[in-house]
Amino acid sequence: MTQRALQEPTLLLLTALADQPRHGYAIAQEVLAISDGRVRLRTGTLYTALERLVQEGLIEVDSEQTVGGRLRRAYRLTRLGGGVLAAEVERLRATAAEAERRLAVPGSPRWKEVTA
Amino acid sequence: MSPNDSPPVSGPSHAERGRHEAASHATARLLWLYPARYRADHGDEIMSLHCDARLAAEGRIARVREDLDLIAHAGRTRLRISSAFASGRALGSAAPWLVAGAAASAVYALTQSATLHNGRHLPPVTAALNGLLLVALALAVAGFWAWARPLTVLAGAALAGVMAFESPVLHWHSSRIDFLAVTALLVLCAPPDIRPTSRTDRAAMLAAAAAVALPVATWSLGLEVHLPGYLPTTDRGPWTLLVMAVVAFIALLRVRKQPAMLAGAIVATLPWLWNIVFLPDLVGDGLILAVMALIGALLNRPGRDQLLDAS
Repeated sequence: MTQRALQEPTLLLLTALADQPRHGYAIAQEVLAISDGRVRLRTGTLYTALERLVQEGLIEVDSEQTVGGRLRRAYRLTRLGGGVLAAEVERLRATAAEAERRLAVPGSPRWKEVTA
Repeated sequence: MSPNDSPPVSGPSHAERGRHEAASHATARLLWLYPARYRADHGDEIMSLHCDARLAAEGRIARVREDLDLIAHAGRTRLRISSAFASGRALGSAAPWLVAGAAASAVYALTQSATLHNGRHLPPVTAALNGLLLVALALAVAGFWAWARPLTVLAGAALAGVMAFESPVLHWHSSRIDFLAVTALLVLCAPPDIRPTSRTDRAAMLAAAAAVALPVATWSLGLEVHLPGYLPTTDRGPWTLLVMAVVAFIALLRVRKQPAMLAGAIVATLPWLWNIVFLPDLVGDGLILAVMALIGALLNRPGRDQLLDAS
């Protein structure tokens, strides 16, 4: 199956949930850390993305608990979501490997830099 | 700190308790912007998320940005144009083409001004705002969509405003005001979590802008080319529509099962119609708005939201 490249917020969000379930605020913090501070998902944007990914079956609600009077809903990757993320990782890996190979070809800017 | 840690909510000091209460009150007020049913289903979770984000935000500006993001989400939810809806995904797909279109129209305005010999050059502010639309496209193509989107909205809206006070009010002049205003509005409404990520998407934006703008630019430089339309020398002929039709056709080939993306290409074409329809302003505006409403209604008809688009 060929699938389109994932949108960056989607990729980061799925990555944030790859190792364990997390609730909304923790997901936003993870995305910020994974992207090296580049992508900050604010509440509205994050919630839209969560809603869409639940609709698409890529994530699902793992648990709900009330802490300090506030509802915390934790999300986890579904099997489909895990598969989509794994396929994206494979695609990125293949692209990165090809880029590495080409940069190592004599005459490429990187090759010149290393051998200078 | 565990992965699911949040700003502390138990055992706070007096000052912290005050901050928590302030965050809760501010969020509760904003929640009223959501539709009642949505608020009943999702209000508690959004409340919790937004309070955490607001407490973690450092400084007044950061808190205002958090609030503005929530207000925008509430507005998109009310209008059913968040990315959770097919119409929102269509708008998100349209946004890159809209940014490209605004930049192409800026190329037209700037090259015309630079090559005119009758002394009717663009005023500096107008020229600068057109230049900002080009910067927005450059940012989008470079991968900085988070900057490109607001810059297109601000520069487009400001340019429409400035042009409205300029004279003379020619048909092209007034139709471009409509074009810019609609473009800015559509880009503003587009959900921010859908963005042109891949190199192909970004290259396509640049190609579409170049395809619209280059015939005009080459004519301005004295290299006349013959293309379909009234004149290859303006952006009022069907040439731009032809370019956008190609964009829509490619979208159709790429994503046959995702009509929101095809609808996005069609939506991105609509602002150009203001430049070419020769109908009385209100009739033309009404017709185009009706087409937009129809697309939104078709995309959001019951059962449509199960479509898996734009992930």
